[in-house]
Amino acid sequence: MNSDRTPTYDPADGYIANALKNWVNFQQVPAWSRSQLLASASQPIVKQSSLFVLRMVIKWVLLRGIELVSALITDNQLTFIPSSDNYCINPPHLSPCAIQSRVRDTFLLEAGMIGAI
Amino acid sequence: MEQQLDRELIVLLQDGELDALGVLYDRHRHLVYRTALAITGDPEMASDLLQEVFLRLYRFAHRIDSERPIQPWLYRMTTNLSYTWVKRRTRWLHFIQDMADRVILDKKPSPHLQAERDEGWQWIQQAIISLPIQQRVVVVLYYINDLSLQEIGEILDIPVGTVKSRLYYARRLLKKQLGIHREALMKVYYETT
Repeated sequence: MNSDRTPTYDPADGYIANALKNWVNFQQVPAWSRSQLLASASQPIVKQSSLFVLRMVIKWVLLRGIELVSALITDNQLTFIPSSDNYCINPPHLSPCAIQSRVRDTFLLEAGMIGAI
Repeated sequence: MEQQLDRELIVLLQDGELDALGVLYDRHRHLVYRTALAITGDPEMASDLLQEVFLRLYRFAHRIDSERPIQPWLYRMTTNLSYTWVKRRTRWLHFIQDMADRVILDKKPSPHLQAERDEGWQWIQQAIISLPIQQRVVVVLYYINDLSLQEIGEILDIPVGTVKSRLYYARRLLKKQLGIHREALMKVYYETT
């Protein structure tokens, strides 16, 4: 170990410690926290576990959906073509703008839901 | 129950005594909340972490050795959960943050100017949040919680040398962020002697 990395003492230590301690000591624990903790702790553990599993399943389904659409775009089964005023997703066997809003909305919805989860 | 030792409360907790959790919470809430707040920089997230840490203390009480001090367990759980939550948030907000940085083109003010502008603690909060998460955790445990390098190493399960290294680089960044220069340190030295 390089000796100059041995932080037994640094002239800035007092300054840094005081600044950080003043900051965190100024912050207060929310008053509602204790009652909420005891209420949550008294809930059955199974309920929490079930919620966790449900969240994981939803997240997995949404991620697979995004991967599927991404794969279709990569394979040129869905291609972006210019439209009069914007871009449409155009699978060869469908009209250019037929599924534009559907795919776009699905993307936004899934991304939003994953973020929320 | 308020007079009982931590180890006695842990035994009660292992028997499912909810009141013991309340007493332990009253005793150690500041330690957990302030550690979580300093690492995450977000009061709401720190509140959630406070809940989560004590919920886990209650639910996993049977795995805790009541003969050992509870503080290291609390520190370990708080830092681990904070680390996970910060990484998760960073992943989702990274893109948005990049876009925001591109939009905000004006140069950031110097730390001294920022300190003068902010009436609260935003400048110190910004300084610590600017550190990489691994360095941030070490800084919080070392400077705020006054833990030794050995204790930090045991809590984070890393060698003491790694703790020293992270502290060294964190100090360097903090000095830069806080605008600590040779002149300022000399002034502090003369004022305290």
